[in-house]
Amino acid sequence: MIRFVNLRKVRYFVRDYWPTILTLVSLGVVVLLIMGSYKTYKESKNDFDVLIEEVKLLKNRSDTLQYNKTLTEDQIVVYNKILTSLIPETEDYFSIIYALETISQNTGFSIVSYTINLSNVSREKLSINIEGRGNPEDFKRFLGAYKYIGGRLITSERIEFSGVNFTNTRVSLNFYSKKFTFNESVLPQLTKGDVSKLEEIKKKIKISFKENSEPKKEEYEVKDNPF
Amino acid sequence: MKRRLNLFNRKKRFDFFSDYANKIKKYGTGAGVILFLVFVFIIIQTISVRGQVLNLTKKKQLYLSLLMNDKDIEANTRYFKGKQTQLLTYEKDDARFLPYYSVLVSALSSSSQSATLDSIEIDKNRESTFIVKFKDYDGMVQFLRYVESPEFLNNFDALSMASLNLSRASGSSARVQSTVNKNYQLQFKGRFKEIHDQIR
Repeated sequence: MIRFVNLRKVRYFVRDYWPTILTLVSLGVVVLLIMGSYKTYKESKNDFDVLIEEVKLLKNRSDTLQYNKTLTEDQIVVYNKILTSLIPETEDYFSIIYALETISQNTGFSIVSYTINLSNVSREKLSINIEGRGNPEDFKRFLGAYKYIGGRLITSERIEFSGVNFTNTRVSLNFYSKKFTFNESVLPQLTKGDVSKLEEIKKKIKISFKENSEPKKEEYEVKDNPF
Repeated sequence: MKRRLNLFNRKKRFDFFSDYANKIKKYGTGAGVILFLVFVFIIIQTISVRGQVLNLTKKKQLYLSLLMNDKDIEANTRYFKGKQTQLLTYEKDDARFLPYYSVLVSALSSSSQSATLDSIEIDKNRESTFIVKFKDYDGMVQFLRYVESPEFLNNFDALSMASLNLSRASGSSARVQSTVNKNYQLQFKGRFKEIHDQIR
């Protein structure tokens, strides 16, 4: 009985106030629509923001690449060969001997002996004590040329020179080797200074770089220590 | 008096609700219109953002294809920069003897004709020790005056005289001795100012 009355009341209520109920239902529907559309909008906006950043990074990367390409005038492969020659990925003792011979030939400062300085050797650096013969002018030529001319980067941490009492001279030279590790960071932009430095080194190095040719595989077996 | 019965006139029930119902209809319609306009606005914004996302996706594809075409150059550039960084790092181990030696020789030649650079030692931190020899006393005095001048000191961050070696016979004045003994030595210690020149 109670149930019958309640149902009848509900029916009467709906019949009397259907415009009000319709208004409330419509409001509810619109609110639901707003919530749904706002969710979609937020998702699209997030996608948009992410894409904006991605495109910005890609554009920078692409622009930098184009700039680098123009700056190096497609010489970058040659520059990389020079850099690999100066600082090889792994130590190659034969290139050290070749470098010392090249320096001797080009400067007149004759390197007559060399010994590895074991106290100053690390995984990346090999220190060699050399003994050379020549006059002071030869030695000055050697000092002006040793850094790149042999095709290997050579440094000397301390140099003594006596032009007056010049006899056989001993110099400690460092040779370097290090693996290149790929860095995922932003593509670096080259500068004119970078390129001009490599151009200067390229002029000094007395080894030929054939473009568009694969580096020859070493036919000899790489030994750990030729000395 | 006759009483008429209107069968079409329906009496409202739930009188207590009728006031609320009127208010709900009145304000609810207004709110509904505003909310609908908000909905339309959001939809328009969403369509606009979707359009921009589409454009950006196309741009992204374009840049990716450009980068894919130049991936060798990109790899070469990264290698170049990595190796160049190694080169610049290792170059700091070098004493860069010749530029500093040249600066000193040039300074000596403009100081005194009798000044000769006897020996020099330079390390990678530009710390240097050098010995200057003189044939006569006057040349040495002339050089000492020059050493204190800004022209010479501008080449150094720090410079001090470490030793002075005068060979003179007992009982004779330095001026007289200078004509006899030609072994006057001054030893200096200091640090050169860094020279930012091109590679040698």
